[in-house]
Amino acid sequence: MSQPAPAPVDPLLTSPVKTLLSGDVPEDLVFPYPAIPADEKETVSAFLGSFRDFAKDHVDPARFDREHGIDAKVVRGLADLGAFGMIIPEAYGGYGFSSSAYCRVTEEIGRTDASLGILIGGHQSIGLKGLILFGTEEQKKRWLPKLAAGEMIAAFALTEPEAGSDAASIRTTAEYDAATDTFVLNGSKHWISNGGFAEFFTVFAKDVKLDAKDEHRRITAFVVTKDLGGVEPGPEEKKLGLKGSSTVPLELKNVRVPGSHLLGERGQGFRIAVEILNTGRTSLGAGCVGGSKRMIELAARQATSRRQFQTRIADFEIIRAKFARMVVNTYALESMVYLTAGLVDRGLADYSVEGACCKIFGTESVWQTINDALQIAGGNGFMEEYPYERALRDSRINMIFEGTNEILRVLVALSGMKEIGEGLQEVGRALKAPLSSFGILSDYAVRRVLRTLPAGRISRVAPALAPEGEAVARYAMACGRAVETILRKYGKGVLTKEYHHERLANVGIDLYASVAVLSRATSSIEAKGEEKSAEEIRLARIFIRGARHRVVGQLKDIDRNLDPDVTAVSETAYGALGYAFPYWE
Amino acid sequence: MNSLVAIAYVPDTESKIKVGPDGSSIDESDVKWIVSPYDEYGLEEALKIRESKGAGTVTVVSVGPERVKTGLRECLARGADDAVWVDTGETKNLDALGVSKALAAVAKAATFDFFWFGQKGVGPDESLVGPMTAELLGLPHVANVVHLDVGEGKVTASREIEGAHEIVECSLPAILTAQKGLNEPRYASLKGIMGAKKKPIAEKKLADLDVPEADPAAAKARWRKLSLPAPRQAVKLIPADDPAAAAKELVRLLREEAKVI
Ligand SMILES: Cc1cc2nc3c(=O)[nH]c(=O)nc-3n(C[C@H](O)[C@H](O)[C@H](O)COP(=O)(O)OP(=O)(O)OC[C@H]3O[C@@H](n4cnc5c(N)ncnc54)[C@H](O)[C@@H]3O)c2cc1C
Repeated sequence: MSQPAPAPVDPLLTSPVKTLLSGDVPEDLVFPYPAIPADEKETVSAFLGSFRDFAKDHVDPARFDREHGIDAKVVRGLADLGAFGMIIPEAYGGYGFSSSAYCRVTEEIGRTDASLGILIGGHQSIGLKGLILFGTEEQKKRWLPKLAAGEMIAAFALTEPEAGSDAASIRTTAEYDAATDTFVLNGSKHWISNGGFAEFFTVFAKDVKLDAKDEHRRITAFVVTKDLGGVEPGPEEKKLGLKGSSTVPLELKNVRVPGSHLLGERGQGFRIAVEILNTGRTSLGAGCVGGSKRMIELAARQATSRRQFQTRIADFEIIRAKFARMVVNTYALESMVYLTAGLVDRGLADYSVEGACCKIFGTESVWQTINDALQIAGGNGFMEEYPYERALRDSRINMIFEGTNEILRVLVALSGMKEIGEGLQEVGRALKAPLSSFGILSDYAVRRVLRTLPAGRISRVAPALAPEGEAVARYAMACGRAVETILRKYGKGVLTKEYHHERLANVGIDLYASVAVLSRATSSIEAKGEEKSAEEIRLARIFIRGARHRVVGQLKDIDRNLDPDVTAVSETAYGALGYAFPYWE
Repeated sequence: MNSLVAIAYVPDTESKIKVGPDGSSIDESDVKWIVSPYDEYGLEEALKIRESKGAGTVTVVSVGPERVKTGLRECLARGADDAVWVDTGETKNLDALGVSKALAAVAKAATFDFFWFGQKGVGPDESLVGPMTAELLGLPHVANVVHLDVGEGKVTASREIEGAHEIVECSLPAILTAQKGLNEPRYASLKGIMGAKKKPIAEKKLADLDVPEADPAAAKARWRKLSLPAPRQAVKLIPADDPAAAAKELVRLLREEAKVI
């Protein structure tokens, strides 16, 4: 029986990563590499110049770390610069930055100081984002101008001691009193960034009087301002890193929140939380780009000046390999982040999976880059006088907050599988419902674009990179087949097959990074010619070579693996509550 | 009170300078350009005077190729009201007198109380343009200002001289050159940067300003040759296990290699 040909779909309603995972290369989305409009480039360059001057004079990351805080004067200075209003629309006193522009500035902040990144990013990427996305006109007029001016700092309060990754299980309650149109909030949040001095909180609570089908549909989001009373931040946490940032528990004691502070509709809170987090992750990846560049600078200076065996450290090949890894991964990450941001600016409808890829790849790549840089510095790398150990401490949290990398891998894999799953009757429906608890809430009927080429081909890559392009297309196809196999094998049982989720997510990230790199290098070749793009071609080749090795390994493991043994090993450890193989004992 | 502020757009002090193939100019290909730091003090003081008086305008002026417009935009972003760009077109290496004549021509067409300069540009470090412009305009000139009190039709300026400060009173309009310490220049805010896009930059052609020095043959001074300081030699370490032998080796090296004794 022949199927009717699918109707063409607007590429902006598709998702590049989902398309890759289901076997195809999303050429229409990925090529050409996004160009930055001249006007925006001018604004951002001017602002970066200003920010750098400011940072040179006033930002001392070692002091913030030592003194556990950023002085009020610096916060005021950043407010005067306009740093707290970048993404707020101009109509509300902000500067209406595009996603690309915001990412570029976030990159610079990440290069400067991670605690500063939390202050500014915690405020905008999560703290006030809900108000921009879901606030009413009246609410926006009321708070956004103050938030843009930095007169109020924002925080995002979702996590509770008993509800971390499983955010739908929060216990903070909101009791609605219809007579006074007031919600009374009670509960404890913890680890709230900026919480020590924020005056504006986006708070999530169980709306206990709301009749709902399941628990996460009972969550409601609120704007809670400090002046409502009963909002009590606890003492600052003592942390591994980000010591300059504020992280506190937050007690909500009979906080009387007027109906006018309701964000979105009652019961929409979980969706709002997920949407805020989903839209903010690309910029976290951008911060990691900045951190990586800083490490490469420091390491290059160190390696070219330090000598052992009458030779520059830089000239030893094992050290060169580290530099190549740092530079190649940073190039790939940068390519992925600004491709994603460019797509967001073009109007990509749902970029939750791409944002997750930027977050996972960014946080793990900067971690490795810092580790490499520290290693290159030798013993100095371990000393407090040098910036490496602080960078290492500061960057560790990246893999935990804003959705742990484990949870995000599940999100990437399940979202990717959904695409093919919908085509397979036996799993289609089953995949849909439980996905929401992982934050996959897309309303869009995301479809694959009509293939213009036979699968496994890629037409828009520059000739110099044709073999790499073909490899990527081939592996995408192999991945699509693997997804189909998994789905047929496990049916709806696939939801708990995390060994495979991790593999698929890793493949998805590598494929997405590869197409981003191919697109960027191709645009460079088209603009400057092959000769002048030789270095970028080289970076692309090295990255894709590594990606191929990794992807092949992951796909093989999907096919044949020792998963049951892995389960058994972990069981033994759980049973023994430790290592169970005596030797000396 | 109105101010004019002359803006030099100069190589960043952290740029690595390379001499161009002609041997008498710098290779501009990798240079990052910045507003001369001394001019920033002048601009900041002009802005502060406007703010304290609650009236007046601040106009920034720059003489140079297309790129100086970026410097002017930056000044507009910091709060200047408008800008004048004197387009030097094909003319290269205009000498200090040529620049001063162009600036004096712009000043003659304006009404102002202050005309600010940096105490020197960064690059040639000649400290000529401010005083020359004052001379061409027939106006009083105070150099190296580190503090300023504005009175009625006059100012009292504190200027830095060798080992002391000199207090000078002078009538307005006047030409002042700013020295480090005068103030702390503000940073351009996003608001300023966005606002600057709507502020006007008037364009004048050097050719229209009667500056004979624009013709290289008529320039009174020109760069003949530029060279970089000799690179520092690598440090040579003499093992000191045997002090007598080490001393002997040092003397030998000083005599035979360094040829200083
Ligand atoms: C410095 C800092 C700042 C923070 N700022 C904020 C903030 O501003 N606002 C806010 O609301 N929260 C904030 N958080 C909380 C943060 O988002 C949570 O720590 C995070 O969501 C993880 O939750 P958890 O710590 O409870 O870990 P858990 O959820 O208990 O997870 C423990 C481990 O189990 C893994 N795991 C959990 N579920 C699964 C699964 N299904 N599959 C595989 N592995 C799984 C996790 O990945 C993790 O490795 C912050 C935390 C820190 C440390």
